[in-house]
Formats: sequence, structure tokens, C-alpha cells
Amino acid sequence: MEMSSFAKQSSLVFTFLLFLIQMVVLGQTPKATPWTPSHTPDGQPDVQGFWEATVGGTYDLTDPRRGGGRLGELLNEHKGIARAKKPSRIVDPPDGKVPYLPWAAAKQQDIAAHVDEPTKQEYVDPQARCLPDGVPRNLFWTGFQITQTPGYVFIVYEQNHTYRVIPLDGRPHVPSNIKLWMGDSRGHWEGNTLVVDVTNINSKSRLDNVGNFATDAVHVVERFTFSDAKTIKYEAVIDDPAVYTQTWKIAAVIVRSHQREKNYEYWEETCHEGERNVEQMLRLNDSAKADTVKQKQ
Amino acid sequence: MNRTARILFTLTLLSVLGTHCAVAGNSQDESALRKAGMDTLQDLKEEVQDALNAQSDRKAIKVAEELAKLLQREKQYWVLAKQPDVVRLAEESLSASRQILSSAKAGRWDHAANAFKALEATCTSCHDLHPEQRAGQSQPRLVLARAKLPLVAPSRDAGPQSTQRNAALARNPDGTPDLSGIWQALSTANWDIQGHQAQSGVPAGPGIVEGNEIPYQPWAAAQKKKNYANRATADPEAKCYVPGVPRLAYVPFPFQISQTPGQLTILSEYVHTVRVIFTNGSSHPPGHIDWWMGDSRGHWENDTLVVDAIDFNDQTWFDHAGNFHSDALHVIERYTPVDADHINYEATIEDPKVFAQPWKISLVLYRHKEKNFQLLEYECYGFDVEKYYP
Repeated sequence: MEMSSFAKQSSLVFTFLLFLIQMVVLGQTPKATPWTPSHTPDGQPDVQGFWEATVGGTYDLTDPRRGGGRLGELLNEHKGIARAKKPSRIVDPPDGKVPYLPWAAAKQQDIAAHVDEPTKQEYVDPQARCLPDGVPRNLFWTGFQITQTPGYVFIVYEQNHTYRVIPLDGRPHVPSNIKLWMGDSRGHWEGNTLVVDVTNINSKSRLDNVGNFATDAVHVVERFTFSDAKTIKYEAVIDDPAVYTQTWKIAAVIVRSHQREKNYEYWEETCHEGERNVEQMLRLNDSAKADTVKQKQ
Repeated sequence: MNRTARILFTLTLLSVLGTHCAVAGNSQDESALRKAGMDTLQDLKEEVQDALNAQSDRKAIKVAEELAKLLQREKQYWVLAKQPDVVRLAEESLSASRQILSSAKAGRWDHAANAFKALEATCTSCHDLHPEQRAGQSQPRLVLARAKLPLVAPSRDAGPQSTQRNAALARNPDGTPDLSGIWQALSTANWDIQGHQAQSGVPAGPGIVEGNEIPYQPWAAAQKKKNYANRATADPEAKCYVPGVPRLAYVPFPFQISQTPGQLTILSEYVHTVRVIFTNGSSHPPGHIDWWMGDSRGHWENDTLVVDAIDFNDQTWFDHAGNFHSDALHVIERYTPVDADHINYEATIEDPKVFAQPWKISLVLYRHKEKNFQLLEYECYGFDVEKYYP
């Protein structure tokens, strides 16, 4: 019996539809993203390697630079030489300042006023004691290495032997009464963006040297957007109604580092084991020395 | 739809599906098809090996993609044939080919080479099973001579021998055991690595030292007694310093291993201690370096990770009982996973300034199995921070 042309056409259409379905099912249709990373065996974008913020330094969130050049800065200020400032790390609110409640603004300003001549222990930044910097400060202080295994992203920082383990399996956070220096991170991938939800931060370290701070109720949501093979557009939204009038946002660019150093390795950095700075800082100021002596008694 | 159209539809369906699946059968056409597929696979493997040797990324990527597609079909074939052990090997081959692809894209030729070795190993394992002779055939198995089948103990760089393969272990694409996960020792060695009875706050324990004797030189034996007497304050652990090697393995805290090609990172809950073991074939840097956690370089011998650690300072103790070392410390560790959840850990300790001869310790590392288990923190030098920041 002769086949009708309609039957022929139907068969062809069905074949074509089946072909399309298979293509989709087998995941062979490429996604329309600007950069296609290679993937780890468990399907994460492979972003392993060494990274570093393009603007380093955790001296001041609103005026980013490293504290090591402070003496030179003070001398230039004294001579009336202006310093070229980098833009505030804070992109929201637009004025680039931390949106404090009044009591919190006063506390931060008090610390900032004494950071060059600490008269009390509490004016010495916890970073000087080699305490872990928390989230997100560590990302700006040093370079870090990302490794990935199925279900995890690991960030190991190149100072203080601190690290973060970011599970991707959607498990709940640890109980809220557990407070951690480096917080409790939970991550998931949205395309090429790693979204990390961080809670349980003890906030015993500060957000920078000049006293910007949060409480242990703070909630940070980070977005690491791997925009190409060498670049992370990083954002963090910080929320703590006990301290701030609104949520606020930090942004930064982080790039691959040590690319020209073949076989660069993560080497040990043991800060606490060799720490002697705090004593020296406090010796600069007699009343601080008296304060230390009092506390030892 | 009329009857002819239905037939045409079914044939079309089968032919389209047939490009990706197949039904296991004994027909001559079937085995000829399979042989052709295997030959193509072999050709592709040779092509990708050439591309990797030449570090030609475009070619390597193209061929690796074709390999992955073929292996995906291969795996699907064995799924339908209901041969789960072959499916597992096909999955490993597929995973290895994807690793070659991603490594080639990233320009990581050493990773790609490792993944290629893994692919060859899984192909060999699969061939040795002779799965094509299953499904009811009673023909005697043909034992084919294969040039690549290792007949002697593998060299440092070879992948695992298929004849000694422990099927219970999780494995990386390159065939090495995957030690990723959270581990902890149950031993009391952190208090005293030798056999000891209980004291307040210290459980009794049989010790982890083989023979229970530590061969101190006479001056060092006297020093150890002094250390023991002063241990409450003299133990570096009291100052919350990192514990050194091998003590990190048996401090009473969990540690997490992140294992990637070329590097095994150990992250301990105890003071955030980080220890990196480089498994990329690199050597110790020019020394001597005074590190707390030393410099560690590891390689696989069958399923054992052998780690050579030097470049230590003299600041750490082996335990709270005052057992100590100098900066000439040299530790050779052997991590042998015996099943998915247990690692036999052994270490040989040498220090010509302190000990008259090398000595050994051994213990078991247990995988944490609790749901959602994770590392927390023991940041002991921060416990009194409120004193400074009221």
C-alpha cells in the first residue's frame, strides 16, 4: 500500500522532534554565557588556582589601602602632600560609607581616632593578634587558593593559615548559638556565579583596621561571579539590623595571581606562633603599658 | 496514523535511538558493530595521546569531546545490558575523558596526562572482564596478551595495578584512591604516644609506637623527662601553636582532606591548621626551612600515599608527654585506605640529633559518617579575646 505523503511528513517531523529532544536531554545544547569554563567531575565550573584582589589592603573599607604604608602617609599629610585615594569598597549606599546607627557610628569613630596611637588594648586591631579576619575581610588581605572536590569549594588564605569550607549540598547552617571566626558558609552555583550564604560569624574580629564592625548576628551573602577565565567580580551584601540602618554592599575585582610563576606553591604562614607585635605597639604609649600591667595582675 | 506510517515511525524511532543506545544481543551484526566501536575508541585514544604530547589544545579538545561522546554511548550500552560493574568502569572512562577535556581547555597538560593514564587503566580493567562474552555464552574466555598490562611492581608514576585493585575504595579519575572527606583518629596518642595508664583528664591508651619504646639518645632521654615534668606549660599545645607532624594526624579534632590532582590539602579543625602535601612530582625546595608543619611531597605506590616530610623547626612536640624532636626531623608517612571509611596510617620517624635509630608509629583514621558533619573551630588563642575587647 502506498504511503500517504502526510504519513511521510509526520514521520520526518517526529524524527526531527526526537532528535531535538535527545539533544536537550543529553545536554549538548550550549548555554548562552559569555565565557564557558571547564568543569570539575561533579559539574562545577572549574575555578581552581590562586587569586588575589586587585586592590589589596584591609586598613579602611572606605579608603582601601594597606596599613603598612601608614607612617609614610602621615609624613606626607604633615607636608601637605595629597594622597591619591582609591574608591570606597562600599558601592551601596552610594556615599560609600557604612550606614551605621548613631551609637555604632560613634564607636567606630572612637576606634578610628586612636588607631595610630592605641591607648587601650581595644584600639589594637584583632588582626595584629593573628586572629582570623572573618568574612569578607580575609579576601582583601592576602591572596588565596581555591580547590574544589565533589560538593565542596575550599578557600585557603595565604595568611594565618585560615580557610573556609563551602559545602554545596544545601545542608542547613549549624545551630545559631555556634559562633565561628570564619563563619559558617553554604554555597551553590548559579551559572558561573558562586553564591555563598554566611552566618554564625562571631564578629570578634573587625571589618578593617579603622574599627568598622558588625555583631554576631551579621548575615553576609557573597557572589563570586567568574566573568572570564581570570576574573572574579565579587560582591557581598552585609546585613545586621543591630548596627546598620540598612543592608550595604561591598564590591571588588579579584584576579588570578602567580600565573607567571610556574609551579607556585602555597607555603606555610604561621602568624600566632611568631607574633610579638602587639606588645611593641602598646609600649609606644605609656598609659597603654600601664593598662597592660593592670590586666596581668 | 495508518499502518505503514506506524511502521515507518517505529523504524525511525529505533534508528534515532539506536545512534545512542543498543540492546545487548548475540547477533553477528551486533558484535561487528561493537568491534568497530572499540577500534574507533582505540584510534581516538591514540589521537588524543598525540595531541597531549604535542600540547595541541585545539586537537586535544576536539578529540577528547569525541571520546567523551563515544564513551557516553558505551556506558549507555552497558546500562541497557544490565552489567553494573561494566557500567561503573565505563563511567570512570567517561569521567577520565571529561577530565582530559577540561584539563586541555585549561592548558593543564600534566593533569590531562594523568587523566589519560586513568583512562587507559579503566579501559584495560574493562577489557579484562570480557563483558562481550556474557549474556548466556559458554565459550571459554580468551586471554588476550596486552602490552600495557603491568607484570612487575609499578614505578612511582604508574597508575594502580588492575590485579591488586581494591574495589571498595572511591577513586579519582586518574585511578588513585580518593581520600577526600572528614577524618579523625580515635587514639589517645595526643596525650602520650606510648602506652599509658589514666590520669585526671587523660584516658588510658596502648600507645601507637611499635614496640612501645622510643630510641632516644641518652641526652634526649633526660630532656624528655624534663619535658614531661613541665608539660602543663611547656607543651606547645598550651600556647595554642600548630601541632607539627605527625601530631596533626592524632590531635582529638577532625580534619578535612581536599584532594585535587597535584595537591592534597589537609584542613584541621584545630587552630585552622593547614598542611599541604604536593603530589605533582615536585621535590622539596632548597632547604633547610624552619617550618612548623614541614614540607611534604607525596606519591602513590599502588593504593598507598607515601609522604616525605622535612624542613621542620624544633618547636613542636609529638604529644603532651614531652616526646620531642629537633629541626633534623624527617617523617615518612604511609596512608593506606583499606576500605571506604578507614585509612591505615603509619609513620617512620628519623632524627639523627635526637634518636639513636628510626622508629615507627601506626594508627587508624576513621571517616566521619554523621549526617552533615563538618569542621567547626578550635581557635584556642582567641578564647580570652574578651579580655582585650570588652
